[in-house]
Amino acid sequence: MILETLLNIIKVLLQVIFGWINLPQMPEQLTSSIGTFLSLIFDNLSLLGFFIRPLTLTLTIPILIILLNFEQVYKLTIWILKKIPFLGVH
Amino acid sequence: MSFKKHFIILLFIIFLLFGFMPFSYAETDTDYGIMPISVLDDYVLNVDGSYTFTYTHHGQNKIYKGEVTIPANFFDDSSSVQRWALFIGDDGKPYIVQCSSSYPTLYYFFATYNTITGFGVNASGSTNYAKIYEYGVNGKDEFYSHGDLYDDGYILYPSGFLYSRNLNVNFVTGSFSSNSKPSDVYNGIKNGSFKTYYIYDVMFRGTSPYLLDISASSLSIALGTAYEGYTYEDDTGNGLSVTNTSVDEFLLDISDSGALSHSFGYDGLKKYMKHKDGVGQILEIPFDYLTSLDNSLSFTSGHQYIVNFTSRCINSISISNFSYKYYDEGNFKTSFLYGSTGGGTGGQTGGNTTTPDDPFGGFTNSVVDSNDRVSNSIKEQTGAIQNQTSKIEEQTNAIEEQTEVNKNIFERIGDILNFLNPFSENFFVYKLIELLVEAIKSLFIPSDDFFSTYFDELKSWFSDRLGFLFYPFELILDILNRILSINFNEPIFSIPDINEPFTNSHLISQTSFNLNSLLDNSIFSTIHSIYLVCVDAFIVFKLVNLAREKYEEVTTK
Repeated sequence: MILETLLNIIKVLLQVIFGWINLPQMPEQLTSSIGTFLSLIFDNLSLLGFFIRPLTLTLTIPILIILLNFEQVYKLTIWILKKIPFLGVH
Repeated sequence: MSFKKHFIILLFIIFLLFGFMPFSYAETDTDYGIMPISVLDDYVLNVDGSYTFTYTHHGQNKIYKGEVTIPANFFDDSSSVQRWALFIGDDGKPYIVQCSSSYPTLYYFFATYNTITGFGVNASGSTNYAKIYEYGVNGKDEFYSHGDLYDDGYILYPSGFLYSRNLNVNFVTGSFSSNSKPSDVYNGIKNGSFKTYYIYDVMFRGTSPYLLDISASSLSIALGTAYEGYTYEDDTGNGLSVTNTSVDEFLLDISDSGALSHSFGYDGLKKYMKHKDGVGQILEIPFDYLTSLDNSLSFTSGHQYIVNFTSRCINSISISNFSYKYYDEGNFKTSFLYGSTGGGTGGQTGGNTTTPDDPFGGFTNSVVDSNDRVSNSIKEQTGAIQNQTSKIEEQTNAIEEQTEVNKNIFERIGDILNFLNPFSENFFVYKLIELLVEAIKSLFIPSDDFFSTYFDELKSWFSDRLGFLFYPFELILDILNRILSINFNEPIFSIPDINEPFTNSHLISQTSFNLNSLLDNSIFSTIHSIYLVCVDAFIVFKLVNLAREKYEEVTTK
């Protein structure tokens, strides 16, 4: 209830602040062309599943993201651990 | 990056986007004005000799692309044979293709109604009729033929039709009267029948029974030259003539829901008229008798007549100023064939055939009375039983309602005791705590669909207000959604419809192929499994290696 009220107030404020703006939409032909282009790409991305096992993909992609950002993840973990006094991490 | 590089990249993106715009053009509705136009795009000769036509219909408000395959036997290289395929497109509209293997032509069938009036067809003219084969509706060997076709370039103006079924010469010809409605004509064609045609001159011949529902201000059946099948026979010139060798009989069923006041030009016919349940009349005319007829039948105006022809020797009928419905065979049952002393539907000889009398006399009436009395008694008893049954049902319902009420009272008492019992799960303190927890939860935790609704509303509002500025965000969301919805388990290779951008010509049809279908081959499937294991091993190895490198990188810093 409280959170909903707060978010609704934020929404009303945003609408009051940006309510006066009324910009034209993107041309429909352009958006549909982009949509067709994206469909062409993403509809065929499923082909990847034939060459790599789908389960492997779902497991390795998150691990790969974590590993590529391992330094930041490591620093964040250490920072959190340092905040816990009884662990004694320095 | 310099400004020049930015500018070149921007130009490249714009060219890329506009390059794909023709995909959306293909689905744009184009207004070609009032005149409907059908254009034959292409035709392909298939291996089995059939032709596949692709066509575009430019309607009043939009264009429609269709495809139809006409079987090989509809085509004839002979120049003396013109064949036309009449089919109903997927858009529900009728089309005609001129089935010439050298030069097929497509027409959008649009029958006009007021350009040709007074068109009549006689027997000799029928041979000039080209055949229009119907295809794709019933799949039967039916065909329509037309008289003259007037083509102004886009619209076909048929002047008359010939209808055939099962290779018999059953034909209906006629023209469109000036007061008929184009929509009626259109619907008639669409349904593959002539039901809603308004025809003022009509001719029937053939072997199939016809049922005419005629509402006429005046009706006359002109008895002219007779035909049998494809064979032209004329032994009297102007009478309703039939072949003497035929064993069929000619039956007219004339029924009238109003007062019966038929008059016949030939008095002798009257003796063959019989009342049927006080509603209709049956007129049975022996063959040989008909050969001597030289007059016409006329009926009282303002009545509705049903005429059934079962003979192979139906002659021509001329009717003026009437609305006309045509029914196919099977709608009319000739179960009242009687009056034949010759037995069955066999030939009757001479003009002396009489209507059979009731051989049982008064005995029949007596039996009928007895039957009526028994029937009435049974009806009364059935009614009394039904009354009793309904009363029993009412009492049963009342008892059931009372039982339900008692059951509810005891359930309520049990619930109250449970609330007061501290060892029960329903003890009121527990319930009170549950209520408090729920209240606190609802105070801080929003409902399940709150966030989705909230952000959807916010997104649509910003999209309306910020217009093209908000589009990049929408694009990112769209891409994320597409990524989430990729189904790797179904590796389908798909190509959309691709059209040439300027002339909108069709270049590549939409197609798709599921690579999993390759795995039906057991050898390939085994190889594929081994390949996947190798790929998995390779990925795991590379991941472990990457993890080791990253660990060393972090720990050595």
